Amino acid sequence: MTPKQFHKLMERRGTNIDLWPSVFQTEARSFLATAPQEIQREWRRAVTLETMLTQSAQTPLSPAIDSERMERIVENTLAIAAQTHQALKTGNSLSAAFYALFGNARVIRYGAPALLGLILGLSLGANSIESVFYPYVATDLSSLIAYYVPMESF
Amino acid sequence: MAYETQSKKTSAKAMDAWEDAALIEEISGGNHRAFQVLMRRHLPMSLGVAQRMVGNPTDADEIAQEAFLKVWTGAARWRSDGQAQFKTWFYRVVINLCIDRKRKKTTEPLDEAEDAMDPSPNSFDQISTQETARLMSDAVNALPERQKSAITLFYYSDLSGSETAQALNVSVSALDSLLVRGRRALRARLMALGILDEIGGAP
Repeated sequence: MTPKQFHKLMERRGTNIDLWPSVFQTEARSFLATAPQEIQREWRRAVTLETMLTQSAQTPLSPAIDSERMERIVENTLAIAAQTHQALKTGNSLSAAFYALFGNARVIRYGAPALLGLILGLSLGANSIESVFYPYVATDLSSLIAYYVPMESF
Repeated sequence: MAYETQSKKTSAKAMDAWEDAALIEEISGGNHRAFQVLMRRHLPMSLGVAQRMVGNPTDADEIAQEAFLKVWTGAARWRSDGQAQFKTWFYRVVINLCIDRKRKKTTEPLDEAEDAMDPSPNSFDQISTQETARLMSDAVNALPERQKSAITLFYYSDLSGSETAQALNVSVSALDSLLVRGRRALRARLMALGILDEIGGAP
């Protein structure tokens, strides 16, 4: 076994030689026993790193995940979930009502352009009215009334 | 319909024995009890993963809560096709929420900063264990996101290698590469701090 092969196996398979492919196990053990000091040192570092990772995984978190903390999260989540459920139900009812009213394809096909036309027409109409009156009156409503409605009528 | 009526009467204790997929089915129908059972089952591990990923217990609590709310609102859309296990899907949600949280949060307010470690442990072993965990946690936190996700799920969750790959949406060989790069980076970082040589790597 070459140092390169050993190194690759160590990185890919970890430091438990028992978990390496069986064809390499015996060879790897004898290689390690007689390996140069630098490779042995690297091996020990890899073993230490694995140990540290395992050890830190077993160390309880701070603050600990105790039943009080869990209960608080569960209760909060359930409360929000209940609200969400209600909101979804309301949303579904609203969307069902919307589809009942406007879901008809004919309504959308003819209704939407008609509505757009109405808005456009009103807007243009309003502009025309304004342009008719503009030369004679000030822009505010009171002046308009004062111009067209004689004082005697009050 | 008969099944639905039956399931609503089922107690939380009886549901404890149910598989995740069955609980999800119930949750999609708005069953709070099933939701509670699923939460209690997966909360400790998901909270642990989130806390290790974001390094802040308050954020971890919020992430776990948000992940479960995603389960609640998305249960109807989730379908087990034999390939997608709930657990791997759920951890993917948790990891993505952690990454999003880290991206959004550039600064950490002082009152949210993690508590300092208790300076009065009972024994030297405890100092050593806690110190090792803290150093390791710092080193893992400094990794690029993908490597950090891979290392966290592989070492700190109950997922197997192939489940971790599924949760991260990568192939098993891609996960191997992430783990190799992650361990290499951790080794380099701990060596730079003189820790690996000091503890066990000394000639």
